[in-house]
Formats: sequence, structure tokens, C-alpha cells
Amino acid sequence: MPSKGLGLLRGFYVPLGLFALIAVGVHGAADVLDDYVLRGVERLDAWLDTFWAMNSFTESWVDAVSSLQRTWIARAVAFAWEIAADLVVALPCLNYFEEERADLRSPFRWGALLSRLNQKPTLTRLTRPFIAGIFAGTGAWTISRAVESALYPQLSALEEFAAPTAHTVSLISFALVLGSLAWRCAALALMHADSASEKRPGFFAAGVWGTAVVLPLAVAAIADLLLRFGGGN
Amino acid sequence: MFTRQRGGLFDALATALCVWAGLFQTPVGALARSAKAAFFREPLPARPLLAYYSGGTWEAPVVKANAQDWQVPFLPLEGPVLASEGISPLARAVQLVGTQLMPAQRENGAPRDLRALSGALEKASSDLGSEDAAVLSVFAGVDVARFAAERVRADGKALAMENLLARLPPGHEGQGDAASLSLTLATAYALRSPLAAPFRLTSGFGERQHPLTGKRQLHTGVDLAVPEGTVVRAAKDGVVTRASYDRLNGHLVIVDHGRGVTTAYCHNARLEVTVGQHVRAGDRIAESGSTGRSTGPHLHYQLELGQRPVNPLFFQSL
Repeated sequence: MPSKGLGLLRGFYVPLGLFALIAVGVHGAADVLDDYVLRGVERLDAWLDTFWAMNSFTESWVDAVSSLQRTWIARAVAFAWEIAADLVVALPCLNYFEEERADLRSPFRWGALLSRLNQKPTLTRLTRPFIAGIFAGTGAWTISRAVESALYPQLSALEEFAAPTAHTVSLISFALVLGSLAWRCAALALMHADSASEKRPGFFAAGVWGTAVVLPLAVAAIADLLLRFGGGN
Repeated sequence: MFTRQRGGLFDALATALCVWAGLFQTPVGALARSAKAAFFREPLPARPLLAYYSGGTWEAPVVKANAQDWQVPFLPLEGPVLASEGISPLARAVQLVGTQLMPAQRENGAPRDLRALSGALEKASSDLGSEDAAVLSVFAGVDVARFAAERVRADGKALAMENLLARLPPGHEGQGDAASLSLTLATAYALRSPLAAPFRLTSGFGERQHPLTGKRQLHTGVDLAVPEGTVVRAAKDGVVTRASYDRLNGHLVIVDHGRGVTTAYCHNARLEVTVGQHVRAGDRIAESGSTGRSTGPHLHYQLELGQRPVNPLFFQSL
């Protein structure tokens, strides 16, 4: 009965869950990339220092940006990147329920979607579902780890069973989030990519800027995951 | 599919988990919590937005006082004395943080005596698998540190502070900061002199009148006078993050030693390393000179902790 009641209210809370799931995945990826951004900022600063020092008018600018400020700049870039990716991938999730609910019930809609993907491939149709799926999957993994870390101290009375219990619950929460929300993120991304592509028929590169923002983050998320399971750092 | 009523409980649970993690693990969540706090006029609950990218290394607090004031708590250290008594720089750093800098973050059961602490850290390092986990156990407790270490190991990652902090239960952020600061100080205490040859300290750290421009400004390192061509060596293992030339600093090398510690070596005649190169403590990295804005052959040696320049003499005997 409670499940049925909650099912009726799904339209209110599922969009929030989808948004949060993608946001967690995107943040994990941005956290991987920020080190590379910092290295880029360091190189740019070294190049600019050489340039500023070339004449006496600008040479006082050489030490104008301290390492604290360079780190701040790199993090601000990573933050801006993350917010931009959230706008491209996560934000549309907040709006899905009203416009897509009826369509998603229909198998014909799915058939049509996949057929258009096959016959009229565009950059967004090809990439967005995978990217959303990657963020949702890595987000679900991050959430399960957070559940485990939060639960463990609460279970101290279980002594040696505390850690395995927390681990088991984290795996259950991973499966729950994957089964309940993660796949929806990918499906929804395909639908949004489809409608965006239909607005500009025949234009392969539709949505190229959005893809350019999110693709490096998705690659970073996948690389981090592969390194993790490959035993690297 | 979305409108069917069954399975609502699972969807609600999954949503609750996602929203909880989103609120507490992302800068976007921090923005939302800050907005709520501002609306209800509550104290701001979230970490600074950009702290979500800190990577587990300690960062100097933003202070308005000048750099010398800020360094007062770091009062050091007697490095050679510690070595002769068998007390590690790590134990000294943990003791300093746990008793003077952030005493509230120390776990009650952690040893107070420096020698006992030194032994306990050695044992914990061997039990838990890393120095980082051992330091964390002093502040967050052995059980929490062991749990974090086990989970990091299961993730296939190194038992470094960044990874351990990512697996700490919520509410242990203060202990995590204290442990990170301890590692930063311990790394600084373990630095070697960049010069093997005899040298003379010609200008110390702090406010001074610049010898060429005449302006008063913070001298962010120490000047060590040496003959041109003297070998400059890495103060500790690390990665070269800058190896460049400009007309102010001359040929300059910056080495990142990890744990929030970097050293810089300026006014060299010649560099012997490139960006991205890994160096070991004592490796040749340059030959000293008088390039850039300099009045004579010397090495400008600079130490930064948490991205802020500090007086190297507080941490190493030069």
C-alpha cells in the first residue's frame, strides 16, 4: 500500500532523484579532472611569466598570481565545468516527467526512437545516452560508497559484523539506484537527444557544444573506474 | 512504465539516497544547502564550494594577518635532536597538531607522550598498511581508520590520505583535516637541504626592502649565497611541476612533494629537469647562478605548505 501511494507521487520525487544521481556522477568526474586543470593552469602561468618578464612595464606581473591563486583558478574552472555539465545533462531530468510520461509508456515510441537512432544518427543521439548512463552508473557507485561509510559507525554494536553489514547494504543500495533510476537517466537522455535532433533534421553536429562540455568528463569518469578496478590509483 | 504504481517504495528509497548524496557530496548540493541556510538565516553548513576539489591535502586557512603571524603555531622542531632520540618527524608533527594546533580533533585514546606516540604510529603503520592510515587513526580512532583503509584497499586504490578521507564516515571532516595537516608538517620536517656545499644565508624570510626595486615586500623564501655552478638538489622526492625561465626568477624549478608541500629553487644558471619528471631526494635538479633579478650568485629557496609560503628555517636546518 505505501508503495502504491509512493508510486502515485513518483512525478514529484523521481526527477529530483535523477538530477541528484547525475550531479553526483558529474562531480566525481570533475574531481578527477581538476588535477589536470591545475597542471594546465601551472603551464599557462609559466608561459605567461616568461611573456610578462620580457619588458619592464609588465615584469611586475610575474609574481602577481600566487600558487594559492593558481589553485583557486584551477578549482574554479573545474567547478564551472561541473556546473556546465550539470546544466547539459542533469537539469533536463527535472523536466522530464511532464513531457515524457505518456510517451514512455508506449513501446512504439521506443521503436521509433531506436529506428531514428539507426537511420538518422546524430552526435547527440549517439553520445548523450551513453554519457548520461556513465554519469548515472558512476554516481550510483559513489552513492553506495557513501552509504557504506555513513552506516559503518552506526553499526558499531555489531562489532566484527559491522563492516560486512555496511558493505552488503552498500551493494544493495547500488543495485537499487541502478535498477530504479540509472537506466532512466540513459533512456531519458536518448529521448531528449532525439527531440533536439528532430528540431534540426539532417544536421549531424546538433548539440556539439553540449557534447564537448560533457564528453571529457565522461571519459574521465570511465578512466577513473577502469583504473580503480585495474588496481591503479 | 513511469506511471505504474508498483515499485514506488523502491523508487522513493533510491531517490532519497541520491538526494542525500547529492546534497552532501557535491558543490551543487552545497549551493542548495547554503541557499536554504541563507533563506532561514541559519549558519552556513557547507564547506566552501571549491574545497570539494581539495584532494585530501591540507590547505592553509585564509587569514588577513601577514604570513609571519600565520606561521606562529608552527614553532618547530629541533630536527637533529629528534633524529638522535629515535623520534620520527611524523610523530613530532602529529604531536604538534594533536596538542597545540587542533587538539579537539585528537582521539581520546591516542598516546600523549611523544615517544609512546612514535611507537604507536610505527605499529599502526604496519597494522593498517600505511603511514597515512596510522595518522588518521590518531585523530579519527583506530576502528574508523581501519574501516577506511579496508574499503580503500577493496577499491584497489593506494592507502593515501586523499582516498582514506573519501571513505571517512560523515562528521569526521575535522579529524581528516588534522590528519592531513600532520602529514603536511611531517613532510616539511623531513626535507633535506637543497645545497650540499657550504653557503651563507644572505636574506631571510619575511618583509624586507627589495635590494633592486627598493620596495617593501614579503620575501617569500630564503637567499643562500653560493658560487655559480653549485649543484642544487631536490629537498625530497617529488614531481617537477615547473621548469621555466623568466627575467625575474631566472631559471626556476618547482617540485611538488605531495601532501601539500612544494619547494621552489630560483635564479639558477642551468636546469637539469623537465616538467613532469619524478625526482628523488638529493637528485641534481639545477646548477645555481644569478639569472633573473639578482644581485649576485645565490639560490632563492622557497617552501610552501598548503599553497602558502612559509619560512623554511622553521622546518629544516639549512
